[in-house]
Amino acid sequence: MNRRTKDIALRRDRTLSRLSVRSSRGLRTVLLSLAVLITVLTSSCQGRYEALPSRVTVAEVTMYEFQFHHDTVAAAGRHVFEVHNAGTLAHEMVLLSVPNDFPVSIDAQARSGTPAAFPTIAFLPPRDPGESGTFAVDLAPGRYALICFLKAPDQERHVLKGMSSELEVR
Amino acid sequence: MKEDIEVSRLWSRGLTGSDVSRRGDHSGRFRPSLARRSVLKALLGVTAVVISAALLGRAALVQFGADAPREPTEWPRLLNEVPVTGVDLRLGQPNNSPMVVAHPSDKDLLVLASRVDGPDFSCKLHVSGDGGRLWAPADPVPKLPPGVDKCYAPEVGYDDDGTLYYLFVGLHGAGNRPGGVFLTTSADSGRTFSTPWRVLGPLNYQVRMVIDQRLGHQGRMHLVWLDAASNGSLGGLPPAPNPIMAAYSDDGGKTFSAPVQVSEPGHQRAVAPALAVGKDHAVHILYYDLNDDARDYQGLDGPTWEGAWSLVLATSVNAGRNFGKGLIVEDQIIPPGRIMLIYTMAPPALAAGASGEVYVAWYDARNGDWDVFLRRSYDGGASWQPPVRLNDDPLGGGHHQYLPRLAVDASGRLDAVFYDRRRDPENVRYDVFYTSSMDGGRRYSPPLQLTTESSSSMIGGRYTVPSAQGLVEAGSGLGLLSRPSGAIAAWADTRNAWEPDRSRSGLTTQDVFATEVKIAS
Repeated sequence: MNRRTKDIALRRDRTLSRLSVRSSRGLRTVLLSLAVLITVLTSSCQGRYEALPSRVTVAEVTMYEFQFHHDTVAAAGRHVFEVHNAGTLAHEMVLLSVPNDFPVSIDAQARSGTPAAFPTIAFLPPRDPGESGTFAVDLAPGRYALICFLKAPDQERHVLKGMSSELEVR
Repeated sequence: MKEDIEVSRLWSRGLTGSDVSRRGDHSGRFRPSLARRSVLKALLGVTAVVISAALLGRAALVQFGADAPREPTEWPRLLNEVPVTGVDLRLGQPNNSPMVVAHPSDKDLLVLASRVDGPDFSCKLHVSGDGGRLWAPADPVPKLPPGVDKCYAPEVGYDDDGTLYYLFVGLHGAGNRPGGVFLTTSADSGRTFSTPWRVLGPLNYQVRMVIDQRLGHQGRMHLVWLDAASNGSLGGLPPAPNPIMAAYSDDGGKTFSAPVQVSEPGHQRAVAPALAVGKDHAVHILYYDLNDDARDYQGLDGPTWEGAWSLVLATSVNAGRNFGKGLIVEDQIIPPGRIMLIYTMAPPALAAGASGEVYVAWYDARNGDWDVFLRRSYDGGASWQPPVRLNDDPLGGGHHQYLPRLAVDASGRLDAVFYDRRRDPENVRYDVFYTSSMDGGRRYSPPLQLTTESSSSMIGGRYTVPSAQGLVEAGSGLGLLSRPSGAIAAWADTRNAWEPDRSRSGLTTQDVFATEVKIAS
């Protein structure tokens, strides 16, 4: 290799070195920019879903003879009740608001024979075995009750057979 | 020299390290394919980042394109209906008049605005982040503007950037007079809203909003309304004319163009405008002309009007700057009954596609019972095909179909929903039916029942004005959102309407329910 070629090679060497440095820097810059971009995109998108106003609780309720099966504690806010009758008789579901300081359970109250009136928030009309129903309701922290007032074949109301339960909303 | 030329030739090929390496020069002094390896590394890095983003969440991939519309090859598939508004029998609220829109780039993000007709007038907004499966309440107007007691009759829309616009009428006083029309926005999917600002003054009724996302930086917001000359009598408008006006904004509602009159002097009793944007940003406004029917127009006492109404379409071919002469699309609309309250009269249905097709639908009593009719235009509203009846129950069979809503998706598929009482021999209980057309309204799918439980037309709000005697407010229509994957329909539902004492008399509770019709590929 003569001197001129060597000079050219050196210049090219330096140039390529600079290019490689630049390329490395460029690659790092590209990757860093993409990482930042993706972070921003995903965080903003996550922020979008987190920012959706209030959470929604799906309250699955299964009705049997003679009970309601459901989570007994839930967070305040929007609830979507999805109610299914898995029993062999028709059942309904009345959602009542119970004072926090009411001294006894709703089951005890029902069996006591002492009348008490609680505000009705929602009512799911009777569902035959296998049928379902749904409604949405906004629940503030407090105490609620689920009751079925239908009559059994022996004419005793389901609630007196134990078909009531409570829901605590926090 | 020859070597110089050789080198220069090599350099002239760009980053030719590989060529040089093949020539065996300068081994170990530099990396011959560095540049190409750098490019490959960059591509691999991008790919890795994209895959990571996909694993993190679908939202990142939204940036990379939308689903292509598909032609369905089987009947629409119906998903279970879901409640949107929350029930509270202690309040007995009639929730109706839903309007559904989707975020421009996130197809799972939907919002639904609805009206409340009692115990006090109000307005609501619900948001879904999962494509309409679950809906959460938002609070678009936490604080009412000064001088306004209630918000009412909301409209919603998105601009191209994803800013949500919520328009509402501010009512005040015991007479619930409109004190102005206000706008508020949300940039965070309905979590927070701006302080509402007034966009129209008092005495403006029946306001509709559509945002043309394809025009301008923020899209062009179009408004249409009925401009009353003065306060009318109880339950009615002042004597005609009270023209229909329109204006637009290109800055997100901060400023508007000077209003232009849409209805002409020849259509004195123009009411209930509907609004749609079509091909090349054409703006279509469809309204009823009650002709000589002062009884309904002014809310006077009396039976159903004996004459006929007309349906008039006015079009702007310059994106809303001005409107051409109104064209009578239909002039034999036999009134289906008294207009319960002229202020809340449901508009006719209007939809426009990107290829110049325009569809209008209404309901009338020409066959004895109420039927839903549709007319279509393929030239932007200049000419019209004969009307077709959308419901397919026996003609004059005594069952009402009414309050149609139309929408067109990006592929041109026309969707239609309407209330239908065919399943009730007493003609009281209604269901929601859906039909669609894939060929520009020439043929339609057999109407599909969307509701699993019927609702009662006797449950809802009532007004103590002469025109509303014995009538129940059904709302201004159904909600309908058309997308390539299908359609989302929303309606006023009374399945949750019970008195606390479990009686069914004098009920008012309506809840908005929604469902999705999937168009399978």
